[in-house]
Amino acid sequence: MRFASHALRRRSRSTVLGLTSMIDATFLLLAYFIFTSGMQRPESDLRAQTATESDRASGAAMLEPQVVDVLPGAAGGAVFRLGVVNHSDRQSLETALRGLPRGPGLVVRVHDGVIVADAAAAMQAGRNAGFEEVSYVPALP
Amino acid sequence: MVDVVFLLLIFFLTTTQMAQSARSAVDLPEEEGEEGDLVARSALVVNIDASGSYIVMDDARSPSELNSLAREAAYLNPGAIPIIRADRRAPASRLNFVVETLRDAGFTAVRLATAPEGR
Repeated sequence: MRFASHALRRRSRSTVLGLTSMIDATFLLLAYFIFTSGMQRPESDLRAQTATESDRASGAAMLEPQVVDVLPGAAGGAVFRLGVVNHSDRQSLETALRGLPRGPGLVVRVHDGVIVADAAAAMQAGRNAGFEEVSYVPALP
Repeated sequence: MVDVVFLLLIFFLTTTQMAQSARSAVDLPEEEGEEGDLVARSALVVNIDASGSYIVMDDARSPSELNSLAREAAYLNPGAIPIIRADRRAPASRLNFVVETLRDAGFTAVRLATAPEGR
């Protein structure tokens, strides 16, 4: 009987943990993650195949991909040219792209004189219109 | 236990600094982007700031240096897709140059980083 109580006392004494320092460290970690997680904005991405104009021109594929030219506009913005039609805003470009077949893919050809936001807008319009394959082609100077 | 916690803290501090060095402060195009994880490791992250400078691992690079880095990354990571983080106001001619350089180095695709709107 004395044996049992002694063993019990010893066991209960051995399970005592000093948590003070661990709580300090936990709060430190918590503060660290709160600060660092708030500083970075979440990012997404637009994937594009890389191709040259010559690649596309020499392609003997039966289905020729549609080409969207991103050109500098007269008023300082960009113009999206699809075929012979110029679209001054991305919404009308997206609407026009929705009427095209998706199979051949879409080529976004970016000319000098526009900014990155315009190129990204054309790529996004293609994605929104349902094109699985979007290629980015730097226009020849 | 405290030792382990501090070890973890130091580890996270170190790795976060490395991650930030790949991500320079650029104002990305506000586009939805695609479903995917940009967090996944990439062979190469090329930043283009608003003035059109090429920045890799927090250092401004010349076109020839960028070319060398791209070839090295393509050799070491065949099949990987590099990430281009271009400022939305940067001239697209700079983006064109980076895409051409990456393509010439052997990359068949690129990912253009975007900042989802409203987030």
